[in-house]
Amino acid sequence: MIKLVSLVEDNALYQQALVDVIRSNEAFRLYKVYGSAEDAMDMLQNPPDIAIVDINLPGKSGIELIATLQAQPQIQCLVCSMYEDDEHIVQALENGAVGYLLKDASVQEISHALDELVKGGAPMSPYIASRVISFFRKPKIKSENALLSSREKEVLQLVAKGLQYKEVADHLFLSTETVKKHMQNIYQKLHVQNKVEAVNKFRYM
Amino acid sequence: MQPDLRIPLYFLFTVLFCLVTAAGTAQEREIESIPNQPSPEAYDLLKDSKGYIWVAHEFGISRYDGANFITLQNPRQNSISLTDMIEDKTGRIWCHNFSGQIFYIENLQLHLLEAYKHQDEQDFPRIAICGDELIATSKKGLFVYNLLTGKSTYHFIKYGASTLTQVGNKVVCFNNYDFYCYEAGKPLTKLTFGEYLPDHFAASLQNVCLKDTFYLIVNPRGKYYKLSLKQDRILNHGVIKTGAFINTISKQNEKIWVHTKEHSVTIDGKEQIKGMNLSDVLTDNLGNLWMSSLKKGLSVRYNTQPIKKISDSLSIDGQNIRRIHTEDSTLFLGTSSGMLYKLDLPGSLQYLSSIPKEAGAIERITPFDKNHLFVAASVGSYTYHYQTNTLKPLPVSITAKDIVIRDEKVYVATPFGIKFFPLAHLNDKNPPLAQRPLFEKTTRCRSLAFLNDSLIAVYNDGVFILHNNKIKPLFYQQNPIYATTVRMVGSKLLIGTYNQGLLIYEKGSFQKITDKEGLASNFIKDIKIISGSTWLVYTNRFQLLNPSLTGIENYTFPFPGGGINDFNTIGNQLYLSTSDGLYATQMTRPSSAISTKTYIDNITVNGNSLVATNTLNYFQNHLQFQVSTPYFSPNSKIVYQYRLTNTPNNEWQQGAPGQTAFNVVALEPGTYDFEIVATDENRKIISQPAIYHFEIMAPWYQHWAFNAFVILWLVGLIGGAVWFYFANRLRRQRQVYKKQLAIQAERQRISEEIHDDIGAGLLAMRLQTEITKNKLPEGEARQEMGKIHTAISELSHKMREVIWSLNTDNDRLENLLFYIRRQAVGLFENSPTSLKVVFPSHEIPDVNIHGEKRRHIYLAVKEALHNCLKHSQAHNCTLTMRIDGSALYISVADDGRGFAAPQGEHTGNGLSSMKKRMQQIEGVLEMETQERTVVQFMVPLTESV
Repeated sequence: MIKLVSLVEDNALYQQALVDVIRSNEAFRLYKVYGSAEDAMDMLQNPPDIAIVDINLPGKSGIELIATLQAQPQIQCLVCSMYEDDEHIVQALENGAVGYLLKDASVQEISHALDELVKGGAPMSPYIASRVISFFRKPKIKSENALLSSREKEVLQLVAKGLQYKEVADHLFLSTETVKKHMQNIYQKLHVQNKVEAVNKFRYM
Repeated sequence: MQPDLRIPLYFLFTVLFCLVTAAGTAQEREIESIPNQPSPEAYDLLKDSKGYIWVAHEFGISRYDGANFITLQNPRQNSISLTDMIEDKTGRIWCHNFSGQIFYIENLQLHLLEAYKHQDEQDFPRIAICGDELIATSKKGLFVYNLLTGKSTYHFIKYGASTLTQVGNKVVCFNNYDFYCYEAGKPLTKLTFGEYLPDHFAASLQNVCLKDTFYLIVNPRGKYYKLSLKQDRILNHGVIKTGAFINTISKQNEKIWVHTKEHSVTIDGKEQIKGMNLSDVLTDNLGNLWMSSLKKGLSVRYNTQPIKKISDSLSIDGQNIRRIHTEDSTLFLGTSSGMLYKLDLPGSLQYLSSIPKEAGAIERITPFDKNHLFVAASVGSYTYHYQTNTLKPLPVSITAKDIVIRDEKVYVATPFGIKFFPLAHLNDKNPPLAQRPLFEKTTRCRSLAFLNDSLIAVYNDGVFILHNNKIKPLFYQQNPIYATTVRMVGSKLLIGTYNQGLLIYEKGSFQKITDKEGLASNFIKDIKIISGSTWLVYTNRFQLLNPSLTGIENYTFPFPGGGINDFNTIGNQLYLSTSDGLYATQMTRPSSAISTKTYIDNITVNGNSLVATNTLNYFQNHLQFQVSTPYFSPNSKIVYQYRLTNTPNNEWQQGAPGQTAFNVVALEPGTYDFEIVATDENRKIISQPAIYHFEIMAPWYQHWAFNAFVILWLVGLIGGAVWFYFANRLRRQRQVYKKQLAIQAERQRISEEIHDDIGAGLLAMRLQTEITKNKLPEGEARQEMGKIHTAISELSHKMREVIWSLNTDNDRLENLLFYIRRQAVGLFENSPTSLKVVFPSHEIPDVNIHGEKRRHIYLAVKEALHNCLKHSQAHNCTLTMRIDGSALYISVADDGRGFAAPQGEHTGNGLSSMKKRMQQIEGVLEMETQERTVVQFMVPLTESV
């Protein structure tokens, strides 16, 4: 049974290359090609079997797209991205990606990945796989805690005490701007939206 | 024989005569003129409310306190002589001169009363104080000055007024024609005098009134009228002729004295003073009679026991009484020419016997036994036998300084040590007298005493204890005692010293009494024990110790001039011999009541007189107090003692005799009381103290407000500096951080752009070329495409490295290690060498490694891996990463031939670049190239923001 593969890739050259890869494999058929996540919402109406999604897209990111596509559970999302940092890997997998390829993968590797996906595997570039394994090496909470630098922890501790940014800044001899910057980093690292959530999450760490 | 008899008889008669005449002037002292007076011509006398004696005289007005005169003058005086002193209720003393000026004394200064117009006067005023008013005679009439308000008026009288007197609360004045009466608040009234006054032009009123009677004198005829006032009439109670020029009429207590040039006599005639030409007489609190004389100035007859000279004659021919010995009521007198007299009391002087001329003077008379007196001469010693009235020399010549008899043995202090002999041998013809000195100590011995069984001896070189044939010195405070005399009083040994006063030795310990305890001097010439009383003898005086031997009995004695040879007492009578005779006086204890007070006359601060303040500035800390005490004693002079309270040393300080100015210097700010009190020569306090309370203010720079200001200022300054420092540091930190952030952001931006645009493009190209290559048939084109693919792969690889090192998200140790592992695995993927990676087994610490450092580490490790891959030809390579403490260790080990293998091939091994990289990040590169090659990097991990 031939599987339908849709692409979400903004880079025309890479898009073309992927199209070629899919076409070169008889087990798959190119279904649709999208240049942005917004366009790819179309997949909810026209769901493919496999969606190869880039993360870095104009407008919404590929990760958001993957999260949206979970409404159509038959779509298997394979990330093909240049990002190899933990944050993107984790986010992508958490939001429902079943495989993660780096863009430096060869034609063969991409082809194999598609095959594996059909077989029910979770294809990943070796580096991604090693990173994913490393997450299991240590407790998750610990890892999240460790995400924060010592300075960020200090900032968060003071914020948790109820201090204003200005007071925190004076306390640590920093500028208020810097503190805000730290807080933004903290939000990003802890995957939270505001101060209260950050503090709550920090408390349970 | 004959000359021997004549001399004593001569003495006998003269002495008897003297004794009879002395008894005639029983117990009254002679009038003495006060020495060192400003003037011998005294016009008036006043005892003020403080007790000072004031004398108005030819050269002004002087205050006498018993020791010193203070003479006051005013630069505006048109003549110096002053008279008619009156003290008002506030203590001001009023007087006038003989040229029409009226003065008053306030705070020891003579002020001119301006209100009295002396320019208008022809004659001098007479003044009186009646109630609160000073009334003075004037050419215009009566001048009335209110002492409280300072207002003055003239009450006009035709022909003016020349003399006046106070009668009760009225003043009667006389202008040589008529009498007028003034009473405060009432108009002047003219008085009628029923009789004709023949001498009215020569008559003058005396300002004296006793029981309504006042006196009008007429000179030079020397008569006076006794007058009294009855309403507007003056009554005459008689006229008395004195026959001499009347100086004044004055009042002493309730007695009226009439002073003429010849003599002064009380009106009742009971008392009279002859030949003094007095102007005034008064008595002080102690009963001393003070006189102002027109020829002898201030004179006094003290109300104390006089000292009587009972023998002039013994001093003739230069001989005088050297020694007085008393027994019951008999005096034994030894003279300088070696004669021994006896004076029975009451009775006559009797010559007893003489020692030979060559023996010199009689130096000492000591009771010996029942029948004998021991008489020590200048040379040799004698015994006097009462019954036979004979002086016999001792069988052996001994010059005795002192003797003591114990257990029938006589011990004699001689210039050649101590000699002794049994008493029983005294009258033996050839007695075996001890010729050898005791203990072979032949230095001069002065005095002896027995303390229990020990003989205490005063030698030239100290006091020694002789006991059981042993001699040892007696030390006071580890020093030998240089003494004159030792005596036993009860169980106490008294030692009179040359300069340490009196030492009292009892049970092994000493007590010391010096001039501080009232001794007249610290040089004690002799100690005399007379019928149980202990006397200390100095060069020109003596004192009686109290029975407890702790101080001086409160006696003062009239000492006649000249040194004292000796003295003795019989009962209450004291006998005293000087170089000019024998004196006797009654020992009377002065009153112990304190009847006088010490006053501070003047205070100078830093040399300037202090006026009416006791608050001083901090620099006004040198004060001098000029003090005085009215104290009139013929026998004793004042010594002041003073202290300053509120100072660390507030002990009483002793002034020098005669000192009246006392300085306190260099005082710290604070409140003080200067207290000074007068003592007599026995150091007994005789006055109430004068106390001056004053405060020296702290300087402005010690004021609390200033100090508080300084402290606040300093705190502010330090606070400001600290604030400035931290603010500055914060600013710099912000700047640095902003810079870092900016760099980070820039790096991030570059990295993202490369990543997103160039990176994505390159990878797409790479994939595209691979696909193209695969499509091409086997051949050259396919090979070329393969090359392009490889080149693009490498390029993308490099680019990823750049992105990786730029991306700040990777600035963590964990990322670095993972990245190294990944790159290493990639590097060895298609090589014959197999790679083993040893990754840290435990958690990788959360440490930031900045882009630069991270890149250096990565590139250095890569270089090492490259070397291994290219040059070692090894089969196995091990990459070990571990974290130990605060350092990261990365080692690359292989089993190949190592670096050094082929010569000349060393150019490409990148060793220097690895070293350089390590240096830049303060890391260490270690290398081992024995059997296997090991390259180890050590990088210190420092956590940073």
